Parts: sequence; C-alpha cells; structure tokens
Amino acid sequence: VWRDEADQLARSVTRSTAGPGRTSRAGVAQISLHRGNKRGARTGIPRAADGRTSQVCHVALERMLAFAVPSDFNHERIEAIAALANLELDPSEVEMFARQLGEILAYAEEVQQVDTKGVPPTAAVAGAPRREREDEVQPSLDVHEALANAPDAVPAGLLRVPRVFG
Amino acid sequence: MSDRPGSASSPVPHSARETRDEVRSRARSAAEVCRAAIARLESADPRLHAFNTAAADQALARAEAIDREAARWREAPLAGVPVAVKDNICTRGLRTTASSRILERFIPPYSATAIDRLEAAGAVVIGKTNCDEFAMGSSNENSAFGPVNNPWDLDRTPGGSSGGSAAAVAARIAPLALGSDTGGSIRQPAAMCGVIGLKPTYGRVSRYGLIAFGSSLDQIGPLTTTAEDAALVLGVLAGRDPADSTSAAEPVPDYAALLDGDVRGVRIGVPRRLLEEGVDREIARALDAALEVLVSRGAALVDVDLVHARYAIPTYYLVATAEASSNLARYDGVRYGFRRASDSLGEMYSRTREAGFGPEVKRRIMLGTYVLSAGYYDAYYLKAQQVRTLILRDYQEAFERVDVIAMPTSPTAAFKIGERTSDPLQMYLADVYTVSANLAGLPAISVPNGFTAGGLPIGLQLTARPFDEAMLLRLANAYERDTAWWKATPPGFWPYA
Repeated sequence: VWRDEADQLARSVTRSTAGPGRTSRAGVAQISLHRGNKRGARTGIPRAADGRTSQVCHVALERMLAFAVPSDFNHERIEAIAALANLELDPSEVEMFARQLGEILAYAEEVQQVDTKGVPPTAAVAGAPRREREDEVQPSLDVHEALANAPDAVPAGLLRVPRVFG
Repeated sequence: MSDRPGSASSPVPHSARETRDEVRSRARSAAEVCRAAIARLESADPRLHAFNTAAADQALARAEAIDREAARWREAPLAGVPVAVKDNICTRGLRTTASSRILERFIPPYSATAIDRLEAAGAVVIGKTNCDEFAMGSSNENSAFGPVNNPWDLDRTPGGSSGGSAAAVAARIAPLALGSDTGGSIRQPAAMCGVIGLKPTYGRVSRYGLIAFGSSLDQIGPLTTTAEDAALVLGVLAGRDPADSTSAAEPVPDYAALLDGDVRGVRIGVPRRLLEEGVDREIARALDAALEVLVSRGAALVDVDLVHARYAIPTYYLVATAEASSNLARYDGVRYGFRRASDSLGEMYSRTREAGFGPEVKRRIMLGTYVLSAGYYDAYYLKAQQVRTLILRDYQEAFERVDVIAMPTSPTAAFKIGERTSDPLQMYLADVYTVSANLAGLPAISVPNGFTAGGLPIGLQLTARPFDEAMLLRLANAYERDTAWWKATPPGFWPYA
C-alpha cells in the first residue's frame, strides 16, 4: 500500500547516512536510543539498542531498506491505516497515534536484530495435531436467537444495514 | 520482604475445596454459600469496582436448584462454589461486555465451554468481572467502565487484564475466578493481588466462547487462593472440545491427587541473565528466597539461558496486535448490539468502531493493521513469527535440562492508577516476564511470594513443559506448605461483617 513511501524513505535514508551496516537502522536509531535510555533509567528493562551488536544486521542491506521504518508517522499515514481498519479517528487521536505508533514500532524494530535466516515462522503452537471434523450438519443456534443482539434485525431472520451502493 | 499485611494472623477463608465439601455434606446449603458471596460482593465492590455485572438472582436460583437436587451434586467437584467470571467469557443470558462500549448490551446466546464445564461441576456464576477492554492491557485501566482498585491499596491498579477477577479472589468475594491470559493477563494481576493465577498450556482449555483477542496466544485459566483449588478447577476445565479445533486431546490427570508436597529432584531453571536488569530489588530478593525454600525441600537449581527472551515483548506486540486487528474486524455495528447510524454502510462501520472502541483497542488495531499491511508484513509479522520460533526453541532446549523455569511474574509490584496510562510503551514493557510463555504456548503459574516493604504482593512465576501443569501445581502446593503468604488477606476485606 505504501510501497511508494517506503521507496521514498529508503532513498532518504541512503542519502542521510554514511556507511553500510548502520544505514538500515538510521531511520529509527535516534528514537530507539532516546527512548531506550529514558526507559532504561526508569525501569531498567532491557533497552531498545543496548549494543549487542553481534546479532545485528545479517540481513541484506537492500532488503532492510525496503522495510525501513519511519521514525514518525505523518497524519496521512495514520489516516490511511485507519481507513484500512474501518476506524474513523478524530483529529486528537490522529495526533496521538502518529506519535505513539512511531514510538512503539521503533521499539519493535528490536526484532530486526535477530538473525532468522532459515528459521521457519511459528504461526501457532499446536496443542494438538490439527484435524478438521467431518463436514456434517450439526445442531446450531436458532437463527432468531443468533440475531437477538443485532441492532436492526427483521422478523424474517435477516439483518438490515444501510445501502451499500449510492 | 515484610510480613506486615494480614499474614498468618488472619483467619483462613473458605477455599473452593472446603466450600464444596460443606455443600456436599450439607453442612451449608449452596444457597447460603451463594448469599454470603453476593453479600461480600455488595459490600466490597463499591471500593473495588471489580464487577461489571452482578448476577445475584440467577446465581441464587442456581444455588437453590443445586440444594433441591442434592443427590445429583453429591460427587460434583465444585458443588455450590461461587465463581467470578471475567467479562470476556460468554455466559448465556448474562451480559458479556469485554469491558467495551461496543458490547455494552451484548447478551450471549450461548456459554463458553469453560462455563458449561464449571456449571456441570456445580459451580455458581455470581457475576462478570471488570477487565481491560478486550483483555488489552496490564492495569485494568483500559476498561470502558472504569478501573478496578487493588484491594491491597485502593489507589493502585490490580494489574490486568484480568484485574477484576484477581481483585475478587484477593478480597475473598469468591474463592475462584476465571481469567484469560494472552500475554500475562491471568498471572500478572494474580501476582499484584496476592493470589494464584494459572495459565494452562495452549490447547489445554477450550477457547470456545472466549471473546478472541490473539487466537494463537489466548488461554482461559483459574485464579484461586490455593494450589489445590487451581488443581481442582483445571481438572474441570481441561480437555478436548469439538467446538475448539485447537483444544488438545491429551489425557487430563487428577491434578489435585498429585499434590503430595514432594519436589525432591525437581530441577528448577533460573534464567539469571534475564534477571540482571529491570527487576525491582525486593522482587529479585523474593525470588531468591522462594528458590531457597524449594531447594530446602529437595529441588535443585540449574542456570538456563533463554537467549531470545529479551525479544519477547516486541515479538509479542507484533503478533498479538496483528491477530487482534483481524479478530476485532467483526465488530461492525451489524450483529452485536452497538451501532452508530449512517446512510452508508462503510460509514456506519467506521463510526460504530470509532464510538465503540477505546483508545488502547484502537491503538492495537492500528498497529496490527499496519504490521499486516502490504510491504510491512515480512518485516514485522513474518519476522516476529520467526523470532517466536527461536523463543520456543530456547525453551525446548532448556526443558531438556530442567523441569520448570522460575522467574518473577512482574518486574514491579502494583503501580498507582494513572501512573503509566500516558505511555503505552512503558506499560507494554512491564509484560517482560509473562509474554514468552504465551508465545511458546507453555503453562505458567503465578504464586503468592511475599510482600514489598510497602505491603504490596509479589508473585513467583513458574513455567513448565507443555501439558505439565501438574509440575507447576505440585511446586506451588509444596511452596504453600512452607510459607503463609497465601493466607494473607487485604485489610478491610476479610472477615466480612
């Protein structure tokens, strides 16, 4: 969705930093360090960038640039995300989220330090081998019971919503 | 540590096991037990705000039915035991809000499997407990209906998200409560309120009827005052449920029967490096003291290194928000009661969600939507899933050498209401010791482990191999035998007049 912006950012990051290796985190490093120090002082919880460099930056520069994170979210970006999530935000929320999401994601950038080459993703920790049940009709909720909470259900057992087109 | 609050001088309140024994032997009727619990709720809740909904009439009707058919309940493991249920667990015919405006009037047409199982065991639901909205939070301050006060210090949070459940058990309103734990939401409030909180293995307890937050992380579990009660309840809750494809068919042991106090030869892993910074001194000292107690009972300490645990928080907040943004898409003003009208469908969705969700829920939906969006999926969500694998492997390696891993539950004791609300990241960081058990799907328990000099409860957290809840309960029970923390009651909440 924001491929253009990502590219733009990648270019600006390249321009604004000196050498390879450090480049990828330039967009966030400032914020991470700043917040890291602040947090560290108050809680002592492991900081966002506390110099365990041995695990840093095994990923190709090009790939990391493509995912470089903006240190701040502008209002247009926040509104675009809100639109994707079907949220209508008021101006003060846009302001707040622009700041907070930037901070949280700068911290979340920590995961980029981990070398995950060849590591498979874990989507779920299986409690049991997944198996689907037979596709047989089984008793389920009565339709009127199921619709009892709907703000606008009609007796025929249907939900009424505003018109979808024009 | 201080032994100032309550401690052994307080009378020992009735546990779930004692209560059911009394009901089964007809020493007390279920109705008497129920009326007393409701009276405690009414006396304590104006101070605590632990309940969103009290179910006095329904509860009493059920208790009277149990008394009428006493023969049928003679063997029931929880006959007549009052239970407080977190308000994100569906209860048929009883309002279930997840502490959100968007579900303010939602009356579930069915009960969660956990509720069906509790009721089949004779338990009586006395009310629905306050929590962070959709279980998103670590302080209960994200409830649309206002915060819960910690019974040990009413100016402080009870932790969260199952804050109302923890407060209700700590204040001895009910001997038992249900909570849900996605990143520590049972264990952390249990620690901060001085009670036991057990997060079972992922798949141990059916999630059917639990309002979904992070589906690969969520588990329902009990909050109690004794390990024996937790064992009793887990035995009732656990087991395969056809309505939840992720529930496991693993056999369910008789957990309560395994509590013999024998921990000789149990190997307890201690991840020292993880505890080097960020833990309050009193909390670290309490952990060491607890380990000494277990060692004196014959357990052995082993150093373990969970190398990737330091990445657990960012990993968790990427995975959990992604799942949340997807799970909460269903609240659109069509089915669940709350709607903001508009001429167009799209606008109705967005206005409903704007008015119905609180700030933390919106924040997480936004974050989750972003990390799943095109161009960012690989950098965030996929990367987090890979780190999740590494966190899981660390545990697997550790559990080749140890039977259980010990940590604090929370790096600090209960904090003041309002102290952290302006800084969500700060709030997230406090989940440092709890989230990895959810990412790895492992069972973990928080056990009362003393008090700070200021009189606030401290929790000891133990994590075990998948489906080895019996190990956690055995250690918790053994620890209880040598300590009296679990007997302490918050001043002003027991005994009730």
